[in-house]
Amino acid sequence: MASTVKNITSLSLVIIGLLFLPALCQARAELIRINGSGAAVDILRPMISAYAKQHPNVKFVVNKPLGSKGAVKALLAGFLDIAVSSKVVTREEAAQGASFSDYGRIPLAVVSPAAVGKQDITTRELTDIFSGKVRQWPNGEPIRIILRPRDDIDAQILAGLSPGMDAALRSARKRPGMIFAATDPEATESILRTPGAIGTAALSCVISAKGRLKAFRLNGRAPTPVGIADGTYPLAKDVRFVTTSRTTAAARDFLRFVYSAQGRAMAKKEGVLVTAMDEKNP
Amino acid sequence: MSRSDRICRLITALAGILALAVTIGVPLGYFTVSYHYMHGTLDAEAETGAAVVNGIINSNPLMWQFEHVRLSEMLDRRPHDRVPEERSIADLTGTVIAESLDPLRWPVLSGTCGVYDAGTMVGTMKISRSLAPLLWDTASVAAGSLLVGLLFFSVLCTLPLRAVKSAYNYLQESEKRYRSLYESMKEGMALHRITYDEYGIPVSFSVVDVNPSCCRLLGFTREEMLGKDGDELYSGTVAGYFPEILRAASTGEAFSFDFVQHATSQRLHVAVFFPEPGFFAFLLEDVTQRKADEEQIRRLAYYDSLTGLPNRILLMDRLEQILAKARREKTRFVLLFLDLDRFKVINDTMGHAHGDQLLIQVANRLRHVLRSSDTLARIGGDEFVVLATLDGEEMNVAHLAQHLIDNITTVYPVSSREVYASTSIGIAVFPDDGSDCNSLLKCADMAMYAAKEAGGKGYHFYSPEMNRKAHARMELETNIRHALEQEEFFLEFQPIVNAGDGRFIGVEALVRWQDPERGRILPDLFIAAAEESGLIVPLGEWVLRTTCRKMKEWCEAGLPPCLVSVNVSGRQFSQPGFTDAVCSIVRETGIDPRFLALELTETSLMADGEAAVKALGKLKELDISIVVDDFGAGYSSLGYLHKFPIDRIKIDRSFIRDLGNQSNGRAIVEAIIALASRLNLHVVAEGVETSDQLDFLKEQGCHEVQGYYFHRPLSEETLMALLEEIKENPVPLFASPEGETIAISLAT
Repeated sequence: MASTVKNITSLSLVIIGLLFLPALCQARAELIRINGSGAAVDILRPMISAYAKQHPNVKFVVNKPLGSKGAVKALLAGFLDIAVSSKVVTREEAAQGASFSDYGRIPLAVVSPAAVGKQDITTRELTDIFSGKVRQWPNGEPIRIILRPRDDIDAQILAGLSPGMDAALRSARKRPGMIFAATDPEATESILRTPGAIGTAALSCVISAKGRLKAFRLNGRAPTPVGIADGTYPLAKDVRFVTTSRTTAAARDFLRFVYSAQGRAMAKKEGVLVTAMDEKNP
Repeated sequence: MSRSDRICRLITALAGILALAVTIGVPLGYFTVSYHYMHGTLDAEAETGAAVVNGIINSNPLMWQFEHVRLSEMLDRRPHDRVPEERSIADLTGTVIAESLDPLRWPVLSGTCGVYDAGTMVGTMKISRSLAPLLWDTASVAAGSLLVGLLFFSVLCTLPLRAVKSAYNYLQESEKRYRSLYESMKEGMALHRITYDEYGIPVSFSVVDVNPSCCRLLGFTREEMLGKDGDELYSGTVAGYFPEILRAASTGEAFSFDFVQHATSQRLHVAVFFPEPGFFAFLLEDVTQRKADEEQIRRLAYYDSLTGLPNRILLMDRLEQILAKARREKTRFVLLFLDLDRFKVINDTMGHAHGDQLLIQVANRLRHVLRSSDTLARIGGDEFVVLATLDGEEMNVAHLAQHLIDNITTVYPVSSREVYASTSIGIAVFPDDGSDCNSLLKCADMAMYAAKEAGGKGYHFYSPEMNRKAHARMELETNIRHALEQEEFFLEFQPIVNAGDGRFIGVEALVRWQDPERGRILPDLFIAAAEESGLIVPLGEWVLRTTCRKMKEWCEAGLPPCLVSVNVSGRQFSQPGFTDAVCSIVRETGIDPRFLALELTETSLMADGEAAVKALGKLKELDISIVVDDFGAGYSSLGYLHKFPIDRIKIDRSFIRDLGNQSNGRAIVEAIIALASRLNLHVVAEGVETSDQLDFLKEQGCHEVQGYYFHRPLSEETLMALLEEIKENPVPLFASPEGETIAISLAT
């Protein structure tokens, strides 16, 4: 009788253990939450896939891009493990525990749908287009400008092209009927679906669009990592990773992969001019 | 403080309040409305923005608060002409998640709206704007309102105050004017308050105000009258009218009455009017004199001023009344028409004043004789009418008439002289003699004439024969008038000779009428009718003018001149222009007035002795002879006789006729001739028909004679032949009835 009761008790424990097995297995999986600038997140996607294959217990959570600033805030609030930013970490952010590591730079291309029939564009032409002086493409189609928010890094980079461009951008923002896109994916999507559109997009986005976006040569120079490297192409976005002391070990391991030769190779493939050394992984 | 000052202060205060209301109310209203509009706008914008934020939250519920770029971009989206705003999104702890800030000046107004995730509020959307522009606008509006308010105040103060002051000045002047009028008006004015008992029933009245005329009329001082009870004040004379006054007050009808003040015997007329409820006023007028005047006027209008008897108007009125009553009651009444006999002679000889004295005495006698129920009226000079009801037979009327005649027929003392008077009475009876006033009066008049024709001093009932005679008289008058127009009259001439030697002196022109239908009409018939109708005036003038023309023709025919006498009636002589007419005819015809003689009766001359003296004087200036005709037959006044410039007197034919029968007639003729002799007047005797008459006259010293003894009236042709004969051969003219031959020659 006593042995029977003991067997029944043992059986019950086994059944309970079987019932909670998946949960126990789940608890042991590593979760890495990444967000940031849209273009930078896009660069990481091939690396995330590769890393996830090598580490099946690691799960990545990559939500809709929050942008550089939003991602850093979310990181500092503990909602993220890694923030990918194109902006410099501010003193306030650093004071709150944010630390960063530069990774590389990615060309910012002036783009339009492929059908506008123009290959090159000059700073002057770009200024005239954004200031409203030129309103039609050479094929007669109206030019529809896709603007980015004032605080967006793409807008700041474009404004830095020339003082005239800065004024043209401010003027464009004041004109009624302008189309605004908050994030990189939204901007790319807007340009693709808007006839005669013109805007900016990271080279990675142009590559992932697979020919549906036409990147103009700016002042005769194509938006390439080489052009950035030799300083002949003026428009480029930084790619840097921001972490805190709360960043998990898994996340740090993932970053080591990103900084590895494999990771850097994959980044170059996405059009990134990787400036970080392998030894400088965090 | 005067009422005007109070109204001025009130208007000033009202103007201030209104101006203040404009000054404060407009900007306050503007600010309030604008504030609420802005608040509503901010709330609406916050709500709209929150709806967008809600979409962002629901699309990223875990990380929405880090979507800084998207939220900022949403906050940045503003209208092109945007107003500066602060826009922010905060979580529940108040931590700002995203914001878009424009610089805003203090103070700031905010609109807030919650943002939600799955129905749970997770934050707020806040939009703020500066109130400074609104405050500036409000200040501008306030400044404008202040100006408008000041203008409003000044306009509201000045214009109404000016109007009020003007109105008050006008009112004061008006009040002063009316007060002056009230106090100086001749009529008395008294205002009374009606006193009510505890049941609200009016019981009496008291005096509230009076003007000086009222005090004077009622004989009290103002102090004595104010507050005095109406009954006491008016000695109870007005109390009887109090119910009428109250009734008039309720109906609004005009009401007036008269009352006599016992103390002063004044008759006061009171017009009552009602200035306001609970009050009534008297307009008192002293009508004592007016009533007396009205009574006097009534007496003058309806009564004879000489005798005090009813006049013709009142008689006709009473006649109408008695006629109506007689018709209604089928009774009879009688109308007696009295006319004094020979009153005209009395009036003419003694003067109107004496005639009036006689009339007064006669009226008094009649008044005493008649019953009080009878009506006695004087309707003309000496005409009286008695209106009496018939109680019995007509014999009673005859008795009444005779009674009146007996009482009137007597001698009356008139200015120390005694005048005999009698009356003739005509009687008309209703309904036998007429059915209306005029016909009855006319019938009585005709009956009176019948009584006159019967010799006077008697009465006569009306008969249809009188009416016929009256119509005949009227027809005769019409015919005379027609005869004058158609020249149916002609002249005959009766010679006048010297009583001593029978020499031809002249002729008396006599008017004759040859009617084409009725033949020759006697002078006695138409002369009286002409006298009565007044046609004697134009007829007399025709005789005078025709005579003068004939005289001129005879003269031009070379016939010897002779004295021609023309009869002048008293009525003709009394015409104002008689002497002028005579002068005119004399000049017109160109005769020698020395051969013209005018014969007037004593009565004509005595009618107005003074005027007669003047008229005869003018005629004598032309050398016209004056002859007193029918001397002795009329009412002689020897006192006047010597004053008149008379050339001859003609003894009335009645005295000559009586020479042979009565010794009195001889005595009168002797006296007349003696009188004429003493007065150096020629005496002419007319109607001489016998030698005895001629002898007596010659014996008494009569100068001239005329009559059938010598000549009947001659036609013009016969007279001209006679004159021709006298001119050629002064031979005896004719043989007298006694066969005596009289030699006749022209008197020189």
